[in-house]
Amino acid sequence: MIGPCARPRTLITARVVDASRPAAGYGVIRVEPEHEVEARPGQFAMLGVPGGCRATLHRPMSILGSGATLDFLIREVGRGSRALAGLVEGDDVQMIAPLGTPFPAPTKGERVVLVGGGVGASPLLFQARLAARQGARPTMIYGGRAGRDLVLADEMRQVCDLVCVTEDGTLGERGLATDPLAAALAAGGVDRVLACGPLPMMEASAALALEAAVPCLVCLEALMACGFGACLGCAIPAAGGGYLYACSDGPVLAAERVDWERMRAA
Amino acid sequence: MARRWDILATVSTPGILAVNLGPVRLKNPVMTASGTCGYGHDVQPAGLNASLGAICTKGLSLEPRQGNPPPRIWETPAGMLNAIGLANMGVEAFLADVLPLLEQAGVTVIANIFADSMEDFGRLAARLAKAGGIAALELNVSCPNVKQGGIHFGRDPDRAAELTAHVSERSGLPIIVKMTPEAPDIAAVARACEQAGACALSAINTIRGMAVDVERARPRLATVYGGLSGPALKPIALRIVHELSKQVSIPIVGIGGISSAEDALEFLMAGASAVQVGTATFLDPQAPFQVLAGLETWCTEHETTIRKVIGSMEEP
Repeated sequence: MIGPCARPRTLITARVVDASRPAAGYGVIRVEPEHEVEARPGQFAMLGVPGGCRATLHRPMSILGSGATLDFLIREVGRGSRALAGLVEGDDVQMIAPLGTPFPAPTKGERVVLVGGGVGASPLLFQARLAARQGARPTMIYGGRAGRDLVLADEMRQVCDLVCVTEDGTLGERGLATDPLAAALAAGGVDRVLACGPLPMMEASAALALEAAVPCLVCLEALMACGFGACLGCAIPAAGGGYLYACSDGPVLAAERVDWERMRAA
Repeated sequence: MARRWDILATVSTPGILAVNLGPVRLKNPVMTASGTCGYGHDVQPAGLNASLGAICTKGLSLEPRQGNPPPRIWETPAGMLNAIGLANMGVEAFLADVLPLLEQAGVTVIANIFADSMEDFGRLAARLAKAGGIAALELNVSCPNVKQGGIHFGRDPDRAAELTAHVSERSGLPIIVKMTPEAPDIAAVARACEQAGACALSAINTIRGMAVDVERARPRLATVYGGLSGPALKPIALRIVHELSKQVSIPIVGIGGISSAEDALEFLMAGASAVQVGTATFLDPQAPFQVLAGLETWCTEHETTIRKVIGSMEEP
């Protein structure tokens, strides 16, 4: 359950100031909200295209960046994400942001391994940029089906020691993101694992971290109608029973708080 | 039957926006619909919610409920399906942690309540009445998303009436019965609730629907069926509100796809005395306040009052 709401929640308008198609099925948009949005890695925005029949729900999208402009990496999955990925410069979007519980701020000297799959790399790139400001250079394991799915690889390389892994071997090693993670954990010295990507990837990363007794945080995705605790649609099965809510308890959660078996069933 | 609120019924309410739901005086006709605004302090600040006619809480039960497994929601054309399963903090947590904040902020609170049996409905109602600070109870006898109770009371006129009388007796609070569009004879249920002492009816709750994931050949919702809400419901809700307004003399609260002042005005003209804004809040958390502001502007521009608008549609 969420606590008392301190400030009125509002839907704001943001102008798309840059849009690109880094690969088929992906869109990157940079938006300028009507006022600055102070966001932290892991937080998200509910994004929607204005107009229509006022009935298309907004889509939760992880925020990349903070301040006067925000970036979003969007993978086309269905109707809503297709509309968002197809926006062009000059279009308007509606947004409610920032929402959700972020990753903890990077601390100096901490050795972090980031594990990202597909669009899940977005909050991790944001986190790595904050770490870079403190002089840290985290390891980023970036996985996907093919090289073209690793849309943020170039940006990642600037702030991370990047390890790319693809299922078809078109970029980096052939395999899964968990292969280099297991190696990094075996080598020791890892203080924390942050994972965001497909469910099996996060579950496997969490299991490896648990085995190595390294704290692991995951950044989850769920279907949600509102993003701010009203609809209770984004239930995440909680370890020990009951549910957590991706929008308010999460999206960033300690991996051991999640009941992965019941997650898989959903 | 003892109804300690009867005395209030004689007090008239001034202002262009004010309406009465029987004995319940509202400063304006805009409420939040249950299940779309949390408990009145969490989705928006309680102080902001105090500007609304009332807030209807998330459905409360005697014990906390965890709700249904995910997936719980799915978007549909002009609406959405939900199968939340009445997840809520339970009445004791609400009374201890939330109600004092709402009272302090001056929020008019309508507690939406749910139970599996008539006895538990009565206990829950009595508990809320004893605590004080509740303007009315809205009986959820129409939730399509739970296995027991709920909708069974709302489909059958006799059971609905019996429940209304029992809850009224146990609590002494004004009772609003939330109608299900799935009753075989909704007019009969409405008349029975009126005779049993309901102070108002709210119409309508969601309509059961479903969606299929064709790639996986599975239902989109873990519970298979869920309640359809949003603009897709509006024409049906309007027709039912209009029909019921001819069948009963108690006020009706219109619910179903309202996201603008114009939508609200349609319901008011069709016979509703107040409205609830629901799914629209998910898209814009300011939606109820925008509907309210729009109604005020409309009344000012048309030099009228909400009470004059109610039922003002001219029929051919």
